[in-house]
Amino acid sequence: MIAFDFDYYRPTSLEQAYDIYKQLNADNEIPVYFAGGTELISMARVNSREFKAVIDLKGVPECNQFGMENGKLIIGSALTLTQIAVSKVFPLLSDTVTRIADHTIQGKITLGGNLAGTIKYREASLPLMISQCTATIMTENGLVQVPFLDCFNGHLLLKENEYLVAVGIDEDEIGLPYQHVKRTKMDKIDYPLITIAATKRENTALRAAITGYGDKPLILPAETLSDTSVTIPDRIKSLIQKLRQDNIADLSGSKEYKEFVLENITPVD
Amino acid sequence: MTTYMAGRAILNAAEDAIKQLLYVGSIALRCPIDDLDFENERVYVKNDPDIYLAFKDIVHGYKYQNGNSVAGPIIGRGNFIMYKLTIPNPETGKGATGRSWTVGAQAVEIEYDTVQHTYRLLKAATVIDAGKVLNPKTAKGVVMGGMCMGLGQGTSEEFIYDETGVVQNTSFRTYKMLRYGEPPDYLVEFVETPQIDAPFGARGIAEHGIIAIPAALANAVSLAAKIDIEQIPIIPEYIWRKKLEL
Repeated sequence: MIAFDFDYYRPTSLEQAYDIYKQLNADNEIPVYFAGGTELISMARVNSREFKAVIDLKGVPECNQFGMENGKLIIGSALTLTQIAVSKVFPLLSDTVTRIADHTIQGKITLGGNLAGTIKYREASLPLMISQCTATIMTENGLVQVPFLDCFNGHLLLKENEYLVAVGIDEDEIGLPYQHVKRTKMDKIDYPLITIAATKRENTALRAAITGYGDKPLILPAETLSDTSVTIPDRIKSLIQKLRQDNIADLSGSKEYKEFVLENITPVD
Repeated sequence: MTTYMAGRAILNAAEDAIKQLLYVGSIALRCPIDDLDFENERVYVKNDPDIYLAFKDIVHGYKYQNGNSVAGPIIGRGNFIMYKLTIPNPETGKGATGRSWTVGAQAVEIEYDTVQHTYRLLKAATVIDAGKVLNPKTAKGVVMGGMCMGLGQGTSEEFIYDETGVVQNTSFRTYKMLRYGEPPDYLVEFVETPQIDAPFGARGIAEHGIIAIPAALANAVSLAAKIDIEQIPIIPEYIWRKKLEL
């Protein structure tokens, strides 16, 4: 049970959502943008998050886009992980989101919610971090498009009142050869010990990002990943060395064990 | 123990209720108690079963046509206490601390990854002496449920505390029980050596499905990883640490 009352808004346009938030925020009505609700509801139930109003973005058409537009695959922030998983338009993203939480919860969690959440893993960001990707943000001046990494540095970097509307991935990147591996403490369905996503584009560097290792998703240093003058085992050692200050122990595993898992991270199944 | 103790008490209570039913029957049918028997929720005259009374007409007392009533609601009463128990010797542990027991054997089969030190549960088996299986599906179900719980304890269930003793995994997101779909193939079989003083010879089996499963799992991992598993839950990080000690 949620032990406090709050108002529920379901705007039907970008501006309406933005204006409601702005007004409530100015009135100190503690609003939150809302989509799947899995994180807000579970946090509210244990009193670790309190709000006076939720603004449900699922009624905003632009947050529900899903399709090709001007050479980009546009994915609205209010789409559920299940919608993304079953479409398989962007196989790496589909594979990644299929391993977030469990099947039931995937029908609730949204792409935007996973990126904006406070739970540190944000696994859905990995394919976006290593792709030519843009983010569409609703701002004071209307919609703005920026490179994804300009507004996502392991967590969303948005100004007060702003919200993520959609992401756009270059069409010629969505079909690249890829690898996705999720390793957990024990159970298949769990937060990641380490999740890695990697793509390879002909004649360019290997790109990879991981989460679970530190306090947020990280891009692996491309120059080390693709340094063919060094043997693969030495490249891995060098990567682990470079990531040492980001490595954090948590309930999933110790720092030393995470290094071991990263060193041996090959597809298991 | 519930099978044995509550079972014996219930049997006593049933005997008591039957005595009362036959007593009311003998008054209402005007015949000796010895000439009555019961079956199919009826009390009937042995040598002429067409003369009978339905339980429903006598369990609240019997009412004559003229409105008179005799006897009252029938309440069977029974009890049972374990007898000849002794206080165990604190030095040796010897003593009679229970009168109901059984034996069983359990095994677990896993697939072990020698590089990652991860493993998958393939099969778990239990054979228990049930004394007498009273309800085959219930018996199998209760043992399977126990095995599932034992596998949860063996693989993942654990409270994690910080330095000040505060539990860190306070929800099922991080306190990991076996999920639906994770259990391996189960094999459950029974042998039947009746416990002669137990109800219908049945031995209690409710808790037994759990008991040896974590140990069987530990033996399987020990064998596969060539180490001695000494704690549960057996998570890959623990196996990895034990391998480092070699």
